[in-house]
Amino acid sequence: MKPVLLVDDSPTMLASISGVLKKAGIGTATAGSAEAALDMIDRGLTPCLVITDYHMPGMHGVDLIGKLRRVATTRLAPMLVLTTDGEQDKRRSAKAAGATGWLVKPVDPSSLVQIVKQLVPGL
Amino acid sequence: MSEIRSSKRPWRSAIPIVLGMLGCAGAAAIADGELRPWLASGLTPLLAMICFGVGVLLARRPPLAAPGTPAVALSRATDVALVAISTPRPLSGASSHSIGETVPTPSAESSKADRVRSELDGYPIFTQILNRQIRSVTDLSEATAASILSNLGDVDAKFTALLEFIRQAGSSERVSGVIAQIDALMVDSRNQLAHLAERQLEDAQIGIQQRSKIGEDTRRVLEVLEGVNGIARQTTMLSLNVSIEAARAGAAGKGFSVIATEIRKLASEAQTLSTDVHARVETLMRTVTVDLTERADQREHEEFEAINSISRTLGSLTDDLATIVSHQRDVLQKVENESEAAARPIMDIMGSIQFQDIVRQQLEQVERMASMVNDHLVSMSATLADPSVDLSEESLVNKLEEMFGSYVMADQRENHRKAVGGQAERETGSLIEMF
Repeated sequence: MKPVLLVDDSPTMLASISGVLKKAGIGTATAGSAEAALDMIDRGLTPCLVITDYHMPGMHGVDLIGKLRRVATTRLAPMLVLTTDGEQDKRRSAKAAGATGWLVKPVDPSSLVQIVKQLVPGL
Repeated sequence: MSEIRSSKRPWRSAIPIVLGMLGCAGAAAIADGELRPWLASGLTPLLAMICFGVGVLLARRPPLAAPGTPAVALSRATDVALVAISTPRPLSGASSHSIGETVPTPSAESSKADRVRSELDGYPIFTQILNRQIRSVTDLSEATAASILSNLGDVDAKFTALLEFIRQAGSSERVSGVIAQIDALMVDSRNQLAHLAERQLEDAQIGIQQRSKIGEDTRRVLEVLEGVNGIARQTTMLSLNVSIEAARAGAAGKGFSVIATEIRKLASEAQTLSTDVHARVETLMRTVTVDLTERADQREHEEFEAINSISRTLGSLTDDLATIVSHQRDVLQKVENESEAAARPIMDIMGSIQFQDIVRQQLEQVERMASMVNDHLVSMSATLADPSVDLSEESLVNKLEEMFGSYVMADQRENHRKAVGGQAERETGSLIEMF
Protein backbone atom coordinates (compact mmCIF):
# COMPACT_ATOMS: atom_id res chain seq x y z
CA MET A 1 0.00 0.00 0.00
CA LYS A 2 1.34 3.44 -0.92
CA PRO A 3 2.03 5.69 2.09
CA VAL A 4 0.56 9.08 2.96
CA LEU A 5 3.31 11.71 2.64
CA LEU A 6 3.34 14.22 5.53
CA VAL A 7 5.28 17.46 5.03
CA ASP A 8 5.79 19.82 7.98
CA ASP A 9 8.73 21.67 9.50
CA SER A 10 7.47 20.79 12.98
CA PRO A 11 8.72 17.39 14.17
CA THR A 12 5.90 17.40 16.69
CA MET A 13 3.26 17.76 13.99
CA LEU A 14 4.87 15.02 11.91
CA ALA A 15 4.95 12.70 14.91
CA SER A 16 1.39 13.57 15.93
CA ILE A 17 -0.27 13.16 12.52
CA SER A 18 1.87 10.17 11.65
CA GLY A 19 0.89 8.55 14.96
CA VAL A 20 -2.79 9.19 14.34
CA LEU A 21 -2.71 7.72 10.83
CA LYS A 22 -0.60 4.74 11.86
CA LYS A 23 -3.05 4.05 14.67
CA ALA A 24 -5.73 3.88 11.98
CA GLY A 25 -3.61 1.40 10.06
CA ILE A 26 -2.42 3.91 7.45
CA GLY A 27 1.24 3.92 6.46
CA THR A 28 3.09 7.24 6.34
CA ALA A 29 6.28 8.85 5.07
CA THR A 30 7.47 12.16 6.55
CA ALA A 31 9.46 15.11 5.23
CA GLY A 32 10.65 18.13 7.24
CA SER A 33 10.42 20.54 4.31
CA ALA A 34 8.95 20.91 0.85
CA GLU A 35 12.40 20.45 -0.66
CA ALA A 36 12.89 17.20 1.24
CA ALA A 37 9.48 16.02 0.04
CA LEU A 38 10.38 16.72 -3.60
CA ASP A 39 13.65 14.89 -3.10
CA MET A 40 11.78 11.84 -1.76
CA ILE A 41 9.45 11.94 -4.78
CA ASP A 42 12.46 12.18 -7.10
CA ARG A 43 13.94 9.11 -5.43
CA GLY A 44 10.86 7.08 -6.24
CA LEU A 45 8.37 7.63 -3.42
CA THR A 46 4.82 7.45 -4.79
CA PRO A 47 2.41 8.59 -2.07
CA CYS A 48 -1.29 7.91 -2.28
CA LEU A 49 -1.98 11.25 -0.58
CA VAL A 50 0.03 14.35 0.40
CA ILE A 51 -0.67 16.38 3.55
CA THR A 52 1.48 19.49 3.74
CA ASP A 53 1.89 22.45 6.05
CA TYR A 54 1.55 25.88 4.46
CA HIS A 55 4.17 27.94 6.30
CA MET A 56 7.56 26.31 6.12
CA PRO A 57 11.08 27.67 5.81
CA GLY A 58 11.97 27.72 2.13
CA MET A 59 9.25 26.58 -0.22
CA HIS A 60 5.75 26.82 1.23
CA GLY A 61 3.08 24.17 1.00
CA VAL A 62 1.06 25.56 -1.88
CA ASP A 63 4.17 25.88 -4.06
CA LEU A 64 4.94 22.27 -3.22
CA ILE A 65 1.46 21.24 -4.36
CA GLY A 66 1.92 23.16 -7.60
CA LYS A 67 5.18 21.34 -8.27
CA LEU A 68 3.80 17.93 -7.35
CA ARG A 69 0.91 18.49 -9.78
CA ARG A 70 3.52 18.58 -12.53
CA VAL A 71 5.17 15.31 -11.46
CA ALA A 72 3.79 12.26 -13.26
CA THR A 73 3.67 10.02 -10.18
CA THR A 74 1.87 12.55 -7.98
CA ARG A 75 -0.15 14.42 -10.60
CA LEU A 76 -3.41 12.70 -9.67
CA ALA A 77 -2.82 12.19 -5.94
CA PRO A 78 -5.10 14.07 -3.50
CA MET A 79 -3.26 16.85 -1.67
CA LEU A 80 -4.34 18.53 1.57
CA VAL A 81 -3.01 21.64 3.26
CA LEU A 82 -2.85 21.32 7.06
CA THR A 83 -2.03 24.68 8.61
CA THR A 84 -2.81 27.09 11.42
CA ASP A 85 -3.62 29.68 8.76
CA GLY A 86 -7.25 30.12 7.84
CA GLU A 87 -7.07 33.06 5.45
CA GLN A 88 -9.41 32.88 2.51
CA ASP A 89 -6.88 34.26 0.04
CA LYS A 90 -4.46 31.49 0.85
CA ARG A 91 -7.21 28.91 0.57
CA ARG A 92 -8.03 30.22 -2.88
CA SER A 93 -4.37 30.12 -3.91
CA ALA A 94 -4.15 26.54 -2.66
CA LYS A 95 -7.24 25.59 -4.64
CA ALA A 96 -5.79 27.23 -7.73
CA ALA A 97 -2.54 25.31 -7.25
CA GLY A 98 -4.41 22.04 -7.19
CA ALA A 99 -5.01 21.36 -3.51
CA THR A 100 -7.83 18.98 -2.67
CA GLY A 101 -8.72 20.49 0.68
CA TRP A 102 -7.74 22.84 3.48
CA LEU A 103 -7.54 21.75 7.12
CA VAL A 104 -6.94 24.16 9.99
CA LYS A 105 -4.81 22.95 12.92
CA PRO A 106 -5.58 21.39 15.28
CA VAL A 107 -7.50 18.90 13.21
CA ASP A 108 -9.68 16.32 14.93
CA PRO A 109 -7.94 12.92 14.56
CA SER A 110 -11.12 11.03 13.70
CA SER A 111 -12.09 13.61 11.09
CA LEU A 112 -8.62 13.44 9.58
CA VAL A 113 -8.74 9.66 9.33
CA GLN A 114 -12.22 9.83 7.83
CA ILE A 115 -11.11 12.37 5.20
CA VAL A 116 -8.02 10.37 4.31
CA LYS A 117 -10.06 7.19 3.90
CA GLN A 118 -12.61 9.00 1.78
CA LEU A 119 -9.93 10.43 -0.48
CA VAL A 120 -8.07 7.13 -0.77
CA PRO A 121 -10.58 4.29 -0.75
CA GLY A 122 -9.10 1.00 0.32
CA LEU A 123 -6.76 2.39 2.96
CA MET B 1 14.02 71.48 17.18
CA SER B 2 13.67 69.18 20.11
CA GLU B 3 10.08 70.21 20.43
CA ILE B 4 9.48 69.49 16.76
CA ARG B 5 11.03 66.04 17.10
CA SER B 6 9.16 65.47 20.26
CA SER B 7 5.89 66.19 18.59
CA LYS B 8 6.61 63.37 16.14
CA ARG B 9 7.16 60.76 18.79
CA PRO B 10 3.94 58.97 19.54
CA TRP B 11 5.91 55.74 20.06
CA ARG B 12 6.17 56.26 23.74
CA SER B 13 2.47 56.10 24.25
CA ALA B 14 2.39 52.74 22.50
CA ILE B 15 4.92 51.01 24.74
CA PRO B 16 2.45 50.01 27.42
CA ILE B 17 0.04 48.91 24.69
CA VAL B 18 2.67 46.68 23.14
CA LEU B 19 3.72 45.19 26.40
CA GLY B 20 0.11 44.84 27.37
CA MET B 21 -0.47 42.93 24.14
CA LEU B 22 2.34 40.55 24.93
CA GLY B 23 0.76 39.84 28.26
CA CYS B 24 -2.65 39.58 26.67
CA ALA B 25 -1.41 37.11 24.07
CA GLY B 26 -0.02 34.80 26.71
CA ALA B 27 -2.98 35.24 29.03
CA ALA B 28 -5.41 34.62 26.19
CA ALA B 29 -3.56 31.45 25.26
CA ILE B 30 -3.81 30.21 28.82
CA ALA B 31 -7.42 31.24 29.08
CA ASP B 32 -8.23 29.43 25.86
CA GLY B 33 -6.89 26.25 27.40
CA GLU B 34 -4.34 25.75 24.65
CA LEU B 35 -1.52 25.49 27.15
CA ARG B 36 -1.17 22.61 29.51
CA PRO B 37 -0.47 23.33 33.21
CA TRP B 38 3.21 22.53 32.85
CA LEU B 39 3.49 24.95 29.97
CA ALA B 40 1.45 27.58 31.76
CA SER B 41 3.77 27.33 34.72
CA GLY B 42 6.73 28.00 32.42
CA LEU B 43 5.00 30.96 30.84
CA THR B 44 3.98 32.51 34.13
CA PRO B 45 7.43 34.06 34.88
CA LEU B 46 7.39 35.36 31.35
CA LEU B 47 4.09 37.12 31.83
CA ALA B 48 5.31 38.37 35.18
CA MET B 49 8.28 39.99 33.45
CA ILE B 50 6.00 41.59 30.90
CA CYS B 51 3.76 42.94 33.60
CA PHE B 52 6.83 44.15 35.43
CA GLY B 53 7.98 46.02 32.34
CA VAL B 54 4.55 47.54 31.90
CA GLY B 55 4.55 48.49 35.55
CA VAL B 56 7.91 50.21 35.24
CA LEU B 57 6.65 52.18 32.30
CA LEU B 58 3.42 53.11 33.97
CA ALA B 59 5.25 54.09 37.14
CA ARG B 60 7.47 56.42 35.21
CA ARG B 61 4.81 57.74 32.93
CA PRO B 62 2.20 60.29 34.00
CA PRO B 63 -1.27 60.26 32.52
CA LEU B 64 -0.97 61.45 28.93
CA ALA B 65 -1.89 65.07 28.65
CA ALA B 66 -4.39 65.96 26.02
CA PRO B 67 -3.04 68.13 23.23
CA GLY B 68 -2.68 71.64 24.50
CA THR B 69 -2.86 70.72 28.15
CA PRO B 70 -0.49 72.94 30.14
CA ALA B 71 2.51 71.20 31.48
CA VAL B 72 2.39 73.22 34.68
CA ALA B 73 0.28 70.59 36.32
CA LEU B 74 3.21 68.20 36.26
CA SER B 75 5.51 68.89 39.12
CA ARG B 76 8.27 66.35 38.70
CA ALA B 77 11.13 67.37 36.46
CA THR B 78 11.26 64.11 34.60
CA ASP B 79 7.56 64.31 33.98
CA VAL B 80 8.09 67.67 32.36
CA ALA B 81 10.52 66.10 29.92
CA LEU B 82 8.13 63.26 29.10
CA VAL B 83 5.27 65.68 28.57
CA ALA B 84 7.54 67.67 26.32
CA ILE B 85 7.87 64.53 24.22
CA SER B 86 4.23 63.61 24.19
CA THR B 87 2.57 67.02 23.93
CA PRO B 88 2.30 68.57 20.45
CA ARG B 89 3.75 72.02 20.30
CA PRO B 90 3.75 74.73 17.66
CA LEU B 91 6.50 74.59 15.09
CA SER B 92 7.36 78.28 15.49
CA GLY B 93 9.98 79.49 17.88
CA ALA B 94 7.39 81.47 19.85
CA SER B 95 6.96 80.11 23.31
CA SER B 96 3.63 78.58 24.10
CA HIS B 97 4.19 78.73 27.83
CA SER B 98 2.11 81.16 29.78
CA ILE B 99 3.37 83.13 32.74
CA GLY B 100 3.84 80.99 35.78
CA GLU B 101 4.45 77.74 33.89
CA THR B 102 7.55 75.66 34.65
CA VAL B 103 9.78 75.86 31.61
CA PRO B 104 12.54 73.27 31.56
CA THR B 105 15.98 74.56 30.76
CA PRO B 106 17.98 73.02 27.87
CA SER B 107 20.41 71.40 30.28
CA ALA B 108 17.57 69.90 32.27
CA GLU B 109 15.99 68.52 29.09
CA SER B 110 19.32 67.06 28.04
CA SER B 111 19.71 65.39 31.40
CA LYS B 112 16.24 63.93 31.21
CA ALA B 113 16.82 62.79 27.68
CA ASP B 114 19.97 61.01 28.86
CA ARG B 115 17.98 59.35 31.57
CA VAL B 116 15.29 58.28 29.14
CA ARG B 117 17.94 57.03 26.70
CA SER B 118 19.57 55.13 29.53
CA GLU B 119 16.24 53.56 30.35
CA LEU B 120 15.64 52.66 26.73
CA ASP B 121 19.08 51.06 26.58
CA GLY B 122 17.90 48.62 29.18
CA TYR B 123 15.12 47.28 27.00
CA PRO B 124 17.34 45.22 24.68
CA ILE B 125 18.29 43.22 27.75
CA PHE B 126 14.64 42.86 28.58
CA THR B 127 13.76 41.69 25.07
CA GLN B 128 16.75 39.36 25.04
CA ILE B 129 15.55 37.77 28.25
CA LEU B 130 12.03 37.70 26.87
CA ASN B 131 13.15 36.01 23.66
CA ARG B 132 15.28 33.50 25.50
CA GLN B 133 12.48 32.69 27.90
CA ILE B 134 10.09 32.21 24.98
CA ARG B 135 12.61 30.06 23.15
CA SER B 136 13.12 28.05 26.33
CA VAL B 137 9.37 27.48 26.68
CA THR B 138 9.13 26.56 22.99
CA ASP B 139 12.02 24.12 23.23
CA LEU B 140 10.65 22.64 26.43
CA SER B 141 7.17 22.21 24.99
CA GLU B 142 8.57 20.65 21.83
CA ALA B 143 10.79 18.26 23.77
CA THR B 144 7.93 17.39 26.10
CA ALA B 145 5.54 16.85 23.21
CA ALA B 146 8.09 14.60 21.55
CA SER B 147 8.54 12.71 24.81
CA ILE B 148 4.78 12.33 25.29
CA LEU B 149 4.42 11.06 21.75
CA SER B 150 7.33 8.69 22.18
CA ASN B 151 5.97 7.31 25.44
CA LEU B 152 2.51 7.11 23.96
CA GLY B 153 3.91 5.24 21.00
CA ASP B 154 5.63 2.81 23.38
CA VAL B 155 2.42 2.30 25.36
CA ASP B 156 0.49 1.80 22.15
CA ALA B 157 3.07 -0.65 20.82
CA LYS B 158 3.03 -2.67 24.05
CA PHE B 159 -0.75 -2.59 24.17
CA THR B 160 -0.97 -3.69 20.55
CA ALA B 161 1.58 -6.44 21.15
CA LEU B 162 -0.37 -7.65 24.19
CA LEU B 163 -3.61 -7.74 22.23
CA GLU B 164 -1.89 -9.53 19.39
CA PHE B 165 -0.53 -12.07 21.86
CA ILE B 166 -4.03 -12.61 23.26
CA ARG B 167 -5.36 -12.97 19.74
CA GLN B 168 -2.63 -15.43 18.81
CA ALA B 169 -2.99 -17.37 22.06
CA GLY B 170 -6.70 -17.74 21.86
CA SER B 171 -7.61 -16.98 18.32
CA SER B 172 -10.83 -18.51 17.08
CA GLU B 173 -9.02 -20.07 14.17
CA ARG B 174 -6.46 -21.73 16.35
CA VAL B 175 -8.96 -23.00 18.92
CA SER B 176 -11.29 -24.07 16.15
CA GLY B 177 -8.42 -25.99 14.59
CA VAL B 178 -7.69 -27.80 17.85
CA ILE B 179 -11.36 -28.50 18.38
CA ALA B 180 -11.73 -29.75 14.83
CA GLN B 181 -8.78 -32.05 15.40
CA ILE B 182 -10.28 -33.37 18.63
CA ASP B 183 -13.65 -33.72 16.99
CA ALA B 184 -12.09 -35.65 14.13
CA LEU B 185 -10.46 -37.98 16.64
CA MET B 186 -13.77 -38.45 18.38
CA VAL B 187 -15.56 -39.15 15.14
CA ASP B 188 -12.85 -41.64 14.31
CA SER B 189 -13.25 -43.22 17.73
CA ARG B 190 -16.99 -43.41 17.31
CA ASN B 191 -16.54 -44.97 13.89
CA GLN B 192 -14.16 -47.49 15.34
CA LEU B 193 -16.65 -48.29 18.09
CA ALA B 194 -19.40 -48.69 15.53
CA HIS B 195 -17.16 -50.94 13.47
CA LEU B 196 -16.40 -52.91 16.59
CA ALA B 197 -20.08 -53.25 17.30
CA GLU B 198 -20.68 -54.50 13.77
CA ARG B 199 -17.87 -56.97 14.14
CA GLN B 200 -19.34 -58.08 17.42
CA LEU B 201 -22.70 -58.57 15.78
CA GLU B 202 -21.11 -60.54 12.99
CA ASP B 203 -19.22 -62.64 15.54
CA ALA B 204 -22.47 -63.27 17.37
CA GLN B 205 -24.17 -64.36 14.17
CA ILE B 206 -21.24 -66.59 13.33
CA GLY B 207 -21.51 -68.04 16.84
CA ILE B 208 -25.18 -68.71 16.30
CA GLN B 209 -24.42 -70.36 12.99
CA GLN B 210 -21.67 -72.40 14.56
CA ARG B 211 -23.94 -73.40 17.43
CA SER B 212 -26.57 -74.37 14.88
CA LYS B 213 -24.04 -76.39 12.95
CA ILE B 214 -22.90 -78.12 16.14
CA GLY B 215 -26.51 -78.94 16.91
CA GLU B 216 -26.97 -80.32 13.43
CA ASP B 217 -23.80 -82.38 13.66
CA THR B 218 -24.88 -83.58 17.07
CA ARG B 219 -28.24 -84.65 15.74
CA ARG B 220 -26.51 -86.59 12.97
CA VAL B 221 -24.24 -88.27 15.53
CA LEU B 222 -27.36 -89.18 17.53
CA GLU B 223 -28.98 -90.53 14.41
CA VAL B 224 -25.86 -92.62 13.77
CA LEU B 225 -26.04 -93.84 17.32
CA GLU B 226 -29.73 -94.74 16.77
CA GLY B 227 -28.54 -96.72 13.77
CA VAL B 228 -25.94 -98.45 15.92
CA ASN B 229 -28.63 -99.22 18.49
CA GLY B 230 -30.83 -100.65 15.74
CA ILE B 231 -28.01 -102.82 14.49
CA ALA B 232 -27.37 -103.96 18.06
CA ARG B 233 -31.07 -104.87 18.51
CA GLN B 234 -31.18 -106.71 15.20
CA THR B 235 -27.92 -108.43 16.11
CA THR B 236 -29.50 -109.53 19.41
CA MET B 237 -32.57 -110.82 17.59
CA LEU B 238 -30.31 -112.56 15.14
CA SER B 239 -28.29 -114.18 17.94
CA LEU B 240 -31.58 -115.39 19.54
CA ASN B 241 -32.63 -116.93 16.26
CA VAL B 242 -29.20 -118.60 15.99
CA SER B 243 -29.58 -119.96 19.54
CA ILE B 244 -33.03 -121.42 18.63
CA GLU B 245 -31.67 -123.03 15.53
CA ALA B 246 -28.68 -124.34 17.48
CA ALA B 247 -31.05 -125.91 20.02
CA ARG B 248 -32.88 -127.71 17.22
CA ALA B 249 -29.69 -129.03 15.83
CA GLY B 250 -28.94 -130.72 19.15
CA ALA B 251 -25.37 -131.60 19.92
CA ALA B 252 -24.21 -130.43 16.50
CA GLY B 253 -25.54 -126.93 17.27
CA LYS B 254 -23.77 -126.48 20.61
CA GLY B 255 -20.93 -124.53 19.02
CA PHE B 256 -23.39 -122.21 17.28
CA SER B 257 -25.20 -121.70 20.59
CA VAL B 258 -21.95 -120.46 22.19
CA ILE B 259 -21.29 -118.14 19.26
CA ALA B 260 -24.83 -116.78 19.41
CA THR B 261 -24.46 -116.11 23.12
CA GLU B 262 -21.22 -114.19 22.52
CA ILE B 263 -22.79 -112.24 19.66
CA ARG B 264 -25.72 -111.29 21.91
CA LYS B 265 -23.27 -110.10 24.58
CA LEU B 266 -21.46 -107.96 22.01
CA ALA B 267 -24.76 -106.55 20.74
CA SER B 268 -25.80 -105.75 24.31
CA GLU B 269 -22.50 -104.05 25.06
CA ALA B 270 -22.72 -102.10 21.76
CA GLN B 271 -26.23 -100.95 22.66
CA THR B 272 -25.08 -99.94 26.15
CA LEU B 273 -22.16 -98.09 24.72
CA SER B 274 -24.36 -96.37 22.11
CA THR B 275 -26.85 -95.29 24.79
CA ASP B 276 -24.01 -93.88 26.88
CA VAL B 277 -22.57 -91.98 23.92
CA HIS B 278 -26.06 -90.74 23.08
CA ALA B 279 -26.49 -89.38 26.61
CA ARG B 280 -23.05 -87.72 26.54
CA VAL B 281 -23.71 -86.13 23.16
CA GLU B 282 -27.06 -84.83 24.33
CA THR B 283 -25.36 -83.27 27.36
CA LEU B 284 -22.71 -81.76 25.13
CA MET B 285 -25.36 -80.37 22.79
CA ARG B 286 -27.20 -78.74 25.69
CA THR B 287 -23.95 -77.25 26.92
CA VAL B 288 -23.19 -75.84 23.51
CA THR B 289 -26.64 -74.58 22.68
CA VAL B 290 -27.61 -73.22 26.09
CA ASP B 291 -24.52 -72.22 28.09
CA LEU B 292 -22.48 -70.81 25.26
CA THR B 293 -25.47 -68.94 23.87
CA GLU B 294 -26.22 -67.40 27.23
CA ARG B 295 -22.61 -66.38 27.73
CA ALA B 296 -22.35 -64.93 24.25
CA ASP B 297 -25.57 -62.99 24.69
CA GLN B 298 -24.40 -61.64 28.02
CA ARG B 299 -21.00 -60.61 26.61
CA GLU B 300 -22.66 -59.02 23.59
CA HIS B 301 -24.99 -57.07 25.83
CA GLU B 302 -22.15 -55.87 28.05
CA GLU B 303 -19.99 -54.82 25.09
CA PHE B 304 -22.91 -53.04 23.48
CA GLU B 305 -23.56 -51.16 26.70
CA ALA B 306 -19.86 -50.27 27.02
CA ILE B 307 -19.71 -48.96 23.46
CA ASN B 308 -22.85 -46.94 23.94
CA SER B 309 -21.44 -45.49 27.15
CA ILE B 310 -18.19 -44.50 25.45
CA SER B 311 -20.11 -43.00 22.56
CA ARG B 312 -22.28 -40.95 24.91
CA THR B 313 -19.17 -39.76 26.77
CA LEU B 314 -17.54 -38.68 23.53
CA GLY B 315 -20.68 -36.82 22.49
CA SER B 316 -20.82 -35.02 25.82
CA LEU B 317 -17.13 -34.11 25.51
CA THR B 318 -17.78 -32.63 22.07
CA ASP B 319 -20.58 -30.50 23.50
CA ASP B 320 -18.28 -29.28 26.30
CA LEU B 321 -15.60 -28.34 23.80
CA ALA B 322 -18.14 -26.45 21.71
CA THR B 323 -19.14 -24.53 24.83
CA ILE B 324 -15.49 -23.73 25.54
CA VAL B 325 -14.99 -22.52 21.97
CA SER B 326 -18.09 -20.36 22.21
CA HIS B 327 -16.84 -18.85 25.47
CA GLN B 328 -13.42 -18.32 23.93
CA ARG B 329 -14.99 -16.50 21.00
CA ASP B 330 -16.94 -14.27 23.39
CA VAL B 331 -13.74 -13.42 25.27
CA LEU B 332 -11.89 -12.61 22.06
CA GLN B 333 -14.76 -10.47 20.85
CA LYS B 334 -14.67 -8.60 24.13
CA VAL B 335 -10.89 -8.12 23.82
CA GLU B 336 -11.27 -6.82 20.28
CA ASN B 337 -14.05 -4.44 21.32
CA GLU B 338 -11.96 -3.13 24.20
CA SER B 339 -8.99 -2.79 21.85
CA GLU B 340 -11.02 -0.65 19.50
CA ALA B 341 -12.34 1.40 22.42
CA ALA B 342 -8.79 2.00 23.70
CA ALA B 343 -7.50 2.94 20.25
CA ARG B 344 -9.73 6.00 20.09
CA PRO B 345 -8.37 7.84 23.18
CA ILE B 346 -4.80 6.96 22.21
CA MET B 347 -5.42 8.45 18.78
CA ASP B 348 -7.02 11.53 20.34
CA ILE B 349 -4.05 12.06 22.64
CA MET B 350 -1.69 11.76 19.68
CA GLY B 351 -3.78 14.30 17.81
CA SER B 352 -3.91 16.70 20.75
CA ILE B 353 -0.12 17.04 20.62
CA GLN B 354 -0.75 19.40 17.70
CA PHE B 355 -1.24 22.09 20.32
CA GLN B 356 2.54 22.31 20.67
CA ASP B 357 2.94 23.44 17.06
CA ILE B 358 0.23 26.06 17.53
CA VAL B 359 1.81 27.33 20.75
CA ARG B 360 5.21 27.36 19.07
CA GLN B 361 3.93 29.54 16.26
CA GLN B 362 2.21 31.90 18.70
CA LEU B 363 5.36 32.22 20.81
CA GLU B 364 7.48 32.75 17.72
CA GLN B 365 5.12 35.55 16.74
CA VAL B 366 5.52 37.10 20.20
CA GLU B 367 9.27 36.69 19.81
CA ARG B 368 9.24 38.51 16.47
CA MET B 369 7.13 41.26 17.98
CA ALA B 370 9.50 41.66 20.92
CA SER B 371 12.43 41.86 18.51
CA MET B 372 10.65 44.52 16.49
CA VAL B 373 9.93 46.55 19.65
CA ASN B 374 13.52 46.09 20.68
CA ASP B 375 14.82 47.41 17.37
CA HIS B 376 12.44 50.32 17.62
CA LEU B 377 13.57 51.20 21.13
CA VAL B 378 17.20 50.95 20.09
CA SER B 379 16.46 53.35 17.28
CA MET B 380 14.69 55.71 19.67
CA SER B 381 17.59 55.56 22.05
CA ALA B 382 20.04 56.34 19.27
CA THR B 383 17.92 59.31 18.25
CA LEU B 384 17.89 60.63 21.80
CA ALA B 385 21.64 60.22 22.01
CA ASP B 386 22.13 62.38 18.95
CA PRO B 387 19.50 65.14 18.77
CA SER B 388 20.86 66.27 15.43
CA VAL B 389 19.58 63.13 13.79
CA ASP B 390 16.17 63.65 12.36
CA LEU B 391 13.67 61.03 13.41
CA SER B 392 12.54 59.19 10.35
CA GLU B 393 11.68 56.00 12.15
CA GLU B 394 8.17 54.73 11.46
CA SER B 395 5.91 54.93 14.48
CA LEU B 396 5.51 51.86 16.66
CA VAL B 397 1.77 51.97 16.17
CA ASN B 398 2.25 51.69 12.42
CA LYS B 399 4.75 48.89 12.83
CA LEU B 400 2.29 47.04 15.04
CA GLU B 401 -0.39 47.47 12.43
CA GLU B 402 2.00 46.10 9.82
CA MET B 403 2.64 43.17 12.09
CA PHE B 404 -1.07 42.44 12.09
CA GLY B 405 -0.69 41.36 8.48
CA SER B 406 1.87 38.75 9.43
CA TYR B 407 -0.45 36.85 11.72
CA VAL B 408 -1.49 33.46 10.40
CA MET B 409 -3.98 32.43 13.06
CA ALA B 410 -7.44 33.81 13.64
CA ASP B 411 -6.71 33.86 17.37
CA GLN B 412 -3.68 36.08 16.84
CA ARG B 413 -5.70 38.56 14.82
CA GLU B 414 -8.50 38.46 17.38
CA ASN B 415 -6.11 39.11 20.27
CA HIS B 416 -4.54 42.01 18.40
CA ARG B 417 -7.92 43.58 17.69
CA LYS B 418 -8.93 43.25 21.33
CA ALA B 419 -5.60 44.69 22.55
CA VAL B 420 -5.90 47.85 20.44
CA GLY B 421 -9.52 48.28 21.42
CA GLY B 422 -10.93 47.33 18.04
CA GLN B 423 -14.15 45.52 17.31
CA ALA B 424 -13.99 41.76 17.44
CA GLU B 425 -14.52 40.22 14.02
CA ARG B 426 -15.51 36.60 13.74
CA GLU B 427 -13.56 35.22 10.84
CA THR B 428 -15.44 33.00 8.45
CA GLY B 429 -14.11 29.83 6.90
CA SER B 430 -14.59 26.33 8.16
CA LEU B 431 -11.79 24.43 9.85
CA ILE B 432 -12.14 21.71 7.23
CA GLU B 433 -12.82 22.72 3.64
CA MET B 434 -12.73 20.33 0.74
CA PHE B 435 -12.35 21.96 -2.67
